[in-house]
Amino acid sequence: MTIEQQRQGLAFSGSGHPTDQESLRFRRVSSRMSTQIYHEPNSSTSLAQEEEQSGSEPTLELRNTVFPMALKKAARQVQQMQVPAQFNGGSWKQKRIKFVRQFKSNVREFLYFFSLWGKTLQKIGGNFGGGVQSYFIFLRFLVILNFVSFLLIAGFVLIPSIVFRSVGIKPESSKADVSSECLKYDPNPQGLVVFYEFFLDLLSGTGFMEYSYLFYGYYNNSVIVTSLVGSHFSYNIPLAYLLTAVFYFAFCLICIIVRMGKAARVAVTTGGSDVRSYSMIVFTGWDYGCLGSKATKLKQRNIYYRLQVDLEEERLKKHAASLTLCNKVTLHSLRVLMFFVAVGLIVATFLAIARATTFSQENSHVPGILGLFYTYLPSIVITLGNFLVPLLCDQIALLEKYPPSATVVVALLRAVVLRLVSLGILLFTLWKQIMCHDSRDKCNLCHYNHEDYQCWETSVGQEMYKLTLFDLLVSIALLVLVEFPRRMVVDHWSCKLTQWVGRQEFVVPSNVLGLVYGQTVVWTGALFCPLLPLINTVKFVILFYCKKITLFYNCRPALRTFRSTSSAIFFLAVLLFGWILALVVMIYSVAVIHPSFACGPFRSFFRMWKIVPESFSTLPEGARDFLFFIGSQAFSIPLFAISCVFMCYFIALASIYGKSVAMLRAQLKLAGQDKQFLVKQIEKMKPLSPQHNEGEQD
Amino acid sequence: MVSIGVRSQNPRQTNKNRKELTFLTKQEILLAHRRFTELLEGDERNHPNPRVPMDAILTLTELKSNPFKKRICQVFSTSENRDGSLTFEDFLDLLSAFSDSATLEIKSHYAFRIFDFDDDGTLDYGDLEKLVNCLTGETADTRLSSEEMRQLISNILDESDIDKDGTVNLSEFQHVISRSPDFVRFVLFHLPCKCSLFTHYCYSRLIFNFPTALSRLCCEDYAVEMYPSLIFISLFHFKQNQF
Repeated sequence: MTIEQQRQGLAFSGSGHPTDQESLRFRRVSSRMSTQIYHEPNSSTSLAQEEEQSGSEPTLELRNTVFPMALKKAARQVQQMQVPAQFNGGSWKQKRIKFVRQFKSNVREFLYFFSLWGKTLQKIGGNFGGGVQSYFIFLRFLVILNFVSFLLIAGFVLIPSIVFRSVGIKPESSKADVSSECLKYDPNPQGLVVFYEFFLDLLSGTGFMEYSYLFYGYYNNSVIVTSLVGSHFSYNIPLAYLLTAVFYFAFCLICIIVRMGKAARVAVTTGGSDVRSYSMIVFTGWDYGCLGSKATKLKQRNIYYRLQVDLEEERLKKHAASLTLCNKVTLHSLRVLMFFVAVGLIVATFLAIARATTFSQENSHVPGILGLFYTYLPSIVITLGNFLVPLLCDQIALLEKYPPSATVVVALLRAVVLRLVSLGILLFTLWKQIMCHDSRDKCNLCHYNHEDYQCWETSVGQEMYKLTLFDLLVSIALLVLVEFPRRMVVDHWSCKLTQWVGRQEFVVPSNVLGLVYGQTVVWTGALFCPLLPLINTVKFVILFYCKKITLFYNCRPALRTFRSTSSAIFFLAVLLFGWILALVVMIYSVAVIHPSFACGPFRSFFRMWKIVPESFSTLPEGARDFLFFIGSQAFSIPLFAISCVFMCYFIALASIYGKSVAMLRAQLKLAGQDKQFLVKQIEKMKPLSPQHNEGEQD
Repeated sequence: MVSIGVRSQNPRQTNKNRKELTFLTKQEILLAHRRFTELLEGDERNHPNPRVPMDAILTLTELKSNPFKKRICQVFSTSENRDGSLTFEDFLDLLSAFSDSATLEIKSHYAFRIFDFDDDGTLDYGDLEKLVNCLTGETADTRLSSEEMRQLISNILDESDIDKDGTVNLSEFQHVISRSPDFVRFVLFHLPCKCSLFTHYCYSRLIFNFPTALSRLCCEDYAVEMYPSLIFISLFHFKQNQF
């Protein structure tokens, strides 16, 4: 009774001072009705959520209402007077639920304290926006992924190898039916080593670093079978090496897919509508956590720019739709021409990389600084290509006149193709040399090019190591030599040129592609250089702090913001593409190329994967039969059929939900139309009979 | 000792009631009271239900540069002459609506009322125009031209006005809001309330000994523009037993 009156009183006072316009009054009536409509589902949903306490926790419902405090207290008093008996009834359950909730929030707060770089990310997001923050979140994800992978590899491969080597177990000798030429492997340098050579070796992974835990060649093919008193301990290092590599790939895939699922779920809840919608920007664009006049002005400028860009794009679309046929034909032919020019540039880069790799491999034995330059030549050419070609493609994009959003996507696609396929070209060239496609005679003896590569896995590992290191060095060099001076010049010397160049902007897409490239290199090299994930973790941590420093000191906040919601999925999709490339390399190395005779855990096997069937045959009978059964058709075909059934079920469920959402949306539209119709009817009836209005109004 | 204010009821019971009627925790309410009493003049502190004028509320760092500050005060104010002044309970309502645990319905309802500049229950052309001007800033180089404004508002109404009456009412507004991923995560409509255990332990040590002056000093010292929320909300996690 009193509650209803109070509600109506509030709604009336909340909706403003009364006016004379009748349509306004009716609209206020409808908003009051809609307010009440929205209050009913509130209480029912909150009731549904806390079913155990139905009726015995009225204060939680009151919290969800929008009355001022005085009204809430009055309502609570009324409720308390009405329902005094039930309070003590469910109190044990209430206490338990409250305790669980409190415990969960405490745990969440505690974990937040431990989350890596949480405060820094908040600071970055507040000052530079969601797009830049998503780059740093992606970087943090990669750091944690690499660190956990390193723990995996350390636990199963590195530590057992260290233990067995320190115990003094000798590697098993190869089979006798192999020529002694293939067994030659001499990585250790002779005599004294000059100091600068030490430094060169550190950078290129040769010399003292080559025969160490860093590379494949150092690991033994020991299969330890001991019979200690009362226990039977055995550890198969080659099998552990292979299975750890396979599991590492599977683990990374699962992490990426899980993360992608989270991002996709967010994108689906928005109904697939792009964030560009104007209502979204205007109603949800303001960040109330934005504090200080500088940050506020920045946010305002940001929103202004976004709105302008979207409005301009709309105008361009309208203009493009009104082009004559002749204009359209010229525009499309220009676009096709520019596409071929871009493709030509990219192919030219690939040829340059292939040539540089061949040259570098041929001249790898030149000593000194020139030798270092030759070994780093592929990395240099790749970096130059990745730097110059996107710049040229940007100029091409100006001629193509795509709408702004399409330009960004096209530029990103070109950069992705360039980066990842250039890595593929490098690997292809290496493989060609190892399997001697040019000169067949070198490979006749040992099935691989044993003259140039006594231990080819280590050489591949060294290439990946060099790429990783060079990437880091280039980033730091750019920071010190380009970004800091640029900022100092722009700040202290004002002329037209510096104004035009301006302070640096933190460009998110190209930075993310750099991360994906680095991670792909690590995945490719992990089989041949087991410590590479650790090196990569350290590299990414250094990169995080370097990028953070350059962001805060050198960069101005970008006017054109990068959409963070859809871009998360894009970053992960590109990462997945890199993963597939690395997987192809791993499968090829494991299944097609003969392992080196002279080094590594697989020196006595025909192919790397042969270790699995051999270890298989040592398993007890029962386990062997079980595993055979799992691999046979009798198991896999029913499994496949059952997963098809589950997939159909989930697809049907998803389509039903989509249909019900569309139906509810249509219902909402119809309800609005009904309201309009009723309002019109009321207006029509009003002049006829004023007394009947009160009755008709409900 | 902090006086909760002259109340006829037991202070603990009052706060317990308040805690159950808002989304704030007990410590947050006590510290909100502390901040509130700082805004009062000396003689007003003994008043049973003190009311802080709007100008004093607008000096809070969290609201100082917010373009919607006046509307926020007016929406949460329960004064008869609509001057935007707030009692402590209005202040708690404000903090509760902006807190992390407030529901989407609460936040969207108050957001709607804040955007409704003429208080008529719907967002019409004038309201939307004032809203866009607040968002982009009133300076000459960030104002949209009238042509652009017209285009923008007609697009907004096309997208959100489902019943085509030329205005956006509460349900249409809530429909738009619920589709936004950031609003769903309550990221945007909140005064920052997160603080790590370590930092609030440090700050609580400082603030215990020198309540008012040092907390003001902290606010000015620690780069307010980048991290004001940390100071304000670290006060919220002040341990109860240190009173």
